[in-house]
Amino acid sequence: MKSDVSVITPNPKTSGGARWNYLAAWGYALEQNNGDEAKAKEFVTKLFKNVPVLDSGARGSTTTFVERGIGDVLIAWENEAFLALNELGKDEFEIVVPSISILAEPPVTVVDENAKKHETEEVAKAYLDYLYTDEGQEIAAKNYYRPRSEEAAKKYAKQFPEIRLFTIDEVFDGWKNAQKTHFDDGGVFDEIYKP
Amino acid sequence: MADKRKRHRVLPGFGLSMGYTLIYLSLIILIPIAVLFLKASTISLAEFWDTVTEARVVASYKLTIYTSFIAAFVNAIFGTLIAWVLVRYDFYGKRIIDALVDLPFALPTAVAGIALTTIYAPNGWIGQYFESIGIKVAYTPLGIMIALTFIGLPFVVRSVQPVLQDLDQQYEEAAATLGANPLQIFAKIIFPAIFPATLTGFALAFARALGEYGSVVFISGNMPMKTEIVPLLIITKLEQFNYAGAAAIAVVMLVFSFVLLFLINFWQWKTTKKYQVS
Amino acid sequence: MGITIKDVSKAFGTFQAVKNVSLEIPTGDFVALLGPSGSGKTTLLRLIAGLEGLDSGGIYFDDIDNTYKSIKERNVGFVFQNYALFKHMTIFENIAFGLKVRPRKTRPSKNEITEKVNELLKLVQLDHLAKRYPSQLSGGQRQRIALARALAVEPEVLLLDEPFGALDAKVRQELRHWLREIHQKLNITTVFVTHDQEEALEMADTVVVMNFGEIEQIGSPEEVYQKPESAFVYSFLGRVNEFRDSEVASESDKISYIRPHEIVLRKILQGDSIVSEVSHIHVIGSTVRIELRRYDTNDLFEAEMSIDQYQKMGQVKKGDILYAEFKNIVVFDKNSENKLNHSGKSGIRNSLKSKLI
Repeated sequence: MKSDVSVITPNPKTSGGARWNYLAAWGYALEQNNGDEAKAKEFVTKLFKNVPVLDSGARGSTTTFVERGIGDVLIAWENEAFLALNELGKDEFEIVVPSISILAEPPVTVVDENAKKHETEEVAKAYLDYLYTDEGQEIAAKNYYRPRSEEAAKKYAKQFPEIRLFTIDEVFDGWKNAQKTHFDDGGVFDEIYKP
Repeated sequence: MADKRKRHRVLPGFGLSMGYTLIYLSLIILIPIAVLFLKASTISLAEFWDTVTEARVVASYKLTIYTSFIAAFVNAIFGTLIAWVLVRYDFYGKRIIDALVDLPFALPTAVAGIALTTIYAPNGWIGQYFESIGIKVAYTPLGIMIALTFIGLPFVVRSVQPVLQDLDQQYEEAAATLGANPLQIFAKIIFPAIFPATLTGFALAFARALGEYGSVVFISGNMPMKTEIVPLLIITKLEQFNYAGAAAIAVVMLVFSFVLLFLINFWQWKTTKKYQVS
Repeated sequence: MGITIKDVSKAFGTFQAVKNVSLEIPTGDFVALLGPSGSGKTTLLRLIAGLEGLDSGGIYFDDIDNTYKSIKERNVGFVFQNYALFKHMTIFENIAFGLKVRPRKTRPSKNEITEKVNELLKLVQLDHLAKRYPSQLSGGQRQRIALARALAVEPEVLLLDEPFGALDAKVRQELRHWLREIHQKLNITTVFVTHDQEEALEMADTVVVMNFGEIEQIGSPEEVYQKPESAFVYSFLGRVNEFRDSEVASESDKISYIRPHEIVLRKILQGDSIVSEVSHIHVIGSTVRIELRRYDTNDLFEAEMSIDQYQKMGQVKKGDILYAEFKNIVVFDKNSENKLNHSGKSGIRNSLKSKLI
């Protein structure tokens, strides 16, 4: 971690995407230091000390980095990074892929109670199923989301660099614990900014 | 009292209109605020105290108050100047400028925030020149002040404008015939006349700035201890489902704002009372 | 200090407020600028003070050319129509204002200022009000304070714009005498603007009658009243009956005037008189005004007499027939409005159409 490289990432307190960024960095450091939590904390602390602007959302950070030219590195989801590159041309920015990162899975589910109330259970379930059809997976891949179906994954393998991925359950024992340890008031993240 | 006679008014309906006033104020202001206090009271006093005195929260109070104060102060001066120009001079495009003054009211604050950030960022139209002389505007308290100045401007202009319009030029002429120079005329005649209005505009702009969120979050950089404003901290608490904590901070700001507005109003009332028609 | 105004003109946009006005005011004179609203009298006063810049001409105080001097340099005292007392200052502070704003070099000491203000408060007989604010004073008191404030800077010329316009009749009467007294005491050249002919005639040494931006006549109150030089001056100064002849074609460009008190009414025909019917009787204190309708032309006119004369004439009521003798008819040319002649007695019984103003 170089101290003169400034990093752009949103505020994990207000941005969900930022929490993934934070956890990815944490997991990466754990991996590098053989599971040493203190080292991981040190790494993440150093990382956030190099953040000059903490936007309230992920898109805000992308804007800050791309439009305002602030910072040297933007931590972003893979699909966001590809999108930014597409928008601005490949020679503007370089995508750096870490050796290991977190598997960020946007959750999708049917909320039974609400669907029942609105009498839309069928449509909702159909939509959910559609997402995992070949067609649905293809659309996801085209938008730079890693597809889950093997077929689509194979087809778009070239598009996505090889990377080792860990899940939030493996390293942080689920969201609930991650939120509590890291992001709640008085959590690890707050300690980083303790004066 | 024996001789307390019923006062006759030209327009009847005091009871009715007062009733509406109370119901309206209750629905719009009093009940929401009461709920806020209720929510804040769900945590213990010790918790409350810890929440509102945490170093980061205290830093955000300081930042919010001092950037708001400076923004309101700058507006008090330049807003008065704009009001002066709009009232006293006739020029081409005056109506357009007059309409421009209200724009900060009409524009969604997020739009203002993004636009200001674009301009004052280190690579922005204006920001690059500040950058070249080593002054950072966006992502610093200075940037916050600019956003707060933007949203507060109409308050001062619209407070001072009608008062200036009513200010008879005879007073200035009288001072001139008595030998006062332009500076003395402004300091001793015009300023005392418009000061209460400027003060009102200042108070409104200040109060507005204390609660401003939309435009500030884009330009402030939101760095804890440095450029984190109180409303952002409140949103942060809400994002963590810490409603009571958010309410606690909100209550502190609310009480502070109320006391401040009350004091300013009281001061204004005292300064004008003695020479208003008795 | 005397004031000389030479060919002064002033326009506001396309409106010519003052047209080529020349006027000579000797030192110590008490001058009334009299005219209807829009006649340019206030503009002329403001031009003298320097509150307006002139378009052409020159203004001199004695031999000093003040044409382009600032208000400050002219050293005039100006009393505004609505007094323009500073609301946020006490009466004392108001009067002291002109002394306090002086540059340090010429500013009197604090004690001197206090002394001067108290002296002025005594002059205007309001020394007990020093600590009040203007809003706590009556109109008449404010007017006196406005004058005291103007006098504090020891002006060489005192200018007053409609000084008593906003006051009720009784206070106005009091203040007129009081202002005259002050003028006599201080002997400052004083110019005041008024639209009230009675006020002008009662107070001024010299009356300047203005109309449409021009001076109609300059003279003593007696001169302008007794020997008006134009139909305007005649009709503006005092009540007047106007007669337009229509029956004699050759004289259609003439207008005749007669003042109500120059009409003698009798119950018996005597000399050249016009038969008229009484349509109204107004008793106003010591004077009586009778409105009459001419039998020959059916036009209305007004006659005025003292209550003594009215009582001597005997019982008169609405509908009675009276004989009116016109004592002093004045005839002006209709177009130029120049005076043609003063005729002694009326010989116009059959050739006049009368109209009451």
